[in-house]
Amino acid sequence: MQQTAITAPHPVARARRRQLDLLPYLMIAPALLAIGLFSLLPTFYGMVISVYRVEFVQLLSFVGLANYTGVLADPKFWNSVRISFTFTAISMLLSVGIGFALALVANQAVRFRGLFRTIALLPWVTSYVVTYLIFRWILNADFGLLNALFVEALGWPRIQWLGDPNLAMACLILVNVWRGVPYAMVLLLAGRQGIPQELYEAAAIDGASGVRSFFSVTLPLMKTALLILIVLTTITDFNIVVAMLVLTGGGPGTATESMSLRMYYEAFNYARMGSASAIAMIIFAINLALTLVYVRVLRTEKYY
Amino acid sequence: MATTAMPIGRRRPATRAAVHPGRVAIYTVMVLVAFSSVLPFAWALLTSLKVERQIYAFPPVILPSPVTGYNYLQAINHGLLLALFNSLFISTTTVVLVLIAGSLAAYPLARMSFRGSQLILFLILVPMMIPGLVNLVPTYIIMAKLGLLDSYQGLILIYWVHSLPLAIWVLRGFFQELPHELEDAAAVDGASRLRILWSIMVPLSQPALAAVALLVFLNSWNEFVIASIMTSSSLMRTAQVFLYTNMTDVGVNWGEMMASGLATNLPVLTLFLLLQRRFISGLTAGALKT
Repeated sequence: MQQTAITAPHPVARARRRQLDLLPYLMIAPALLAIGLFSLLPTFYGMVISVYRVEFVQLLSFVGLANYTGVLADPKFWNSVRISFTFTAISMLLSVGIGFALALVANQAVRFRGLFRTIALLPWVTSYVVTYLIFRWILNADFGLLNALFVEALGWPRIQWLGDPNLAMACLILVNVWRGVPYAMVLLLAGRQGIPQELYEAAAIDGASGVRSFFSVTLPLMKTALLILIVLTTITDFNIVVAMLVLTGGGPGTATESMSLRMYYEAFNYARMGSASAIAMIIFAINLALTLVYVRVLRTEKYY
Repeated sequence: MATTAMPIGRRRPATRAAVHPGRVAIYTVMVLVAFSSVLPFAWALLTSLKVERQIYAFPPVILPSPVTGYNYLQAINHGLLLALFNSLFISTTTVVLVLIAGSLAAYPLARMSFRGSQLILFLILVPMMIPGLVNLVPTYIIMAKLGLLDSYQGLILIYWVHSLPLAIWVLRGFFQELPHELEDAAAVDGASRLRILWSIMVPLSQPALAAVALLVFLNSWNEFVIASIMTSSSLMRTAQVFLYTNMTDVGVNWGEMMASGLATNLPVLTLFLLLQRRFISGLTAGALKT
């Protein structure tokens, strides 16, 4: 390290001469080694685990695709696939849609915009565990705020929010949207503020209505921001474990047991690391496929 | 960039700001949204200050009377402070290590030309495309084999590794934007490149370093899934794991749960309120990573 450091009396930016300069490699080494060993290697190791019979943390014997066929033959797995896609699609559409609408509203406001953004971002700073914990209390059938204020006050019988399969799913999605909207809003607000005002003035001079300028100016110019947000939200929602774990535990029954939660349970409740890894690889494949679809949409369609 | 500072609108003459139907609708929406994001916290706070009889009262009691700190004391008796300390120690150490290794790696990637730099950058950024969930089982097995389960080192190592790609990406971008002149002058004066990084780049990059630090702190503080599989003893629990294990114990005491939840949220909430702009630039930087 010392030696190479001394050899640098001339400007940094310029290319070094022929002898190998070790300094850049040494500076990058800690980060690169750490990432390689504990981020890239585990992904490959995960693939290996998925074709082994595993007892606790010991890989016992190669079993080919047995873990995969076992997983695919389980009706619970297909149930979890359906749940993951339902949860992800509705969550994503709602949080991006509402976030977009709110970004446009907040952009119109002349005053209190900063204050509004601060308050709206509170859910985003709050951890998933705390969020779902608070909502578990609010949705509590016997003593929860929601039943007390909006159901029993009107003389109706208590609703078991988390005890009914469809209601539990709806609650899960709505709480997730509650937490996801601020993030979407702030990102899209930043995108909206990047559009020069002149474009709207030009559109107005050309006689464009508000609706027209939304479709001809706002939407095309925010397309990239929207697509990035959609990719991020989809991936996050698809891989979420903690929402189901804290709010519903996957219940009632297996009504909210997503693929991600199923993988978590397989691995850490039932200690079936092999089949958990197989599920993880299927999740990975779906993630990649979703990302590729989005990237393709982003690439092929022209904007402005 | 427009992302760091959102100008709070200039005041218009009073005549224009007066009753305007569109404005009324806009502010109504804003008030409703603000209300919906504050209400759950407000209810949690009220619950945490109530005596048990009022928490489970019907019809519900809105304001606590008497106001009690009992729930907070109970949470402390059950180990809240140790859990908060664990989270604080792990998150802070992670932030420091990320900033050190992150700037060390970002600098050559921004400023030096060397063989393989593109490949190295690619390898560093690839993990951002791999969902953490995919690495959960192998990470657990590797940590078990290294004997790092249920230890500070294990969690710090994982959080560090997970935060590095984004940190390097943001810092590299920031370094590239800085003018070359100061570095050139320092180099002519005989300063080593490490010296230049430490004495010139780091002080100039404080906004980027702060944004990265805040984002990494927030992510490490709020992380749950990895912490839940890596910690088993009650001594090593982070605050998030403490909350979850208390909740799943039989007979949930909701007053105490709300007290612990709010206490866990307080540090990040305070940081956010004090340093909001930095947070938001970190947030948008995080999204532009793709």
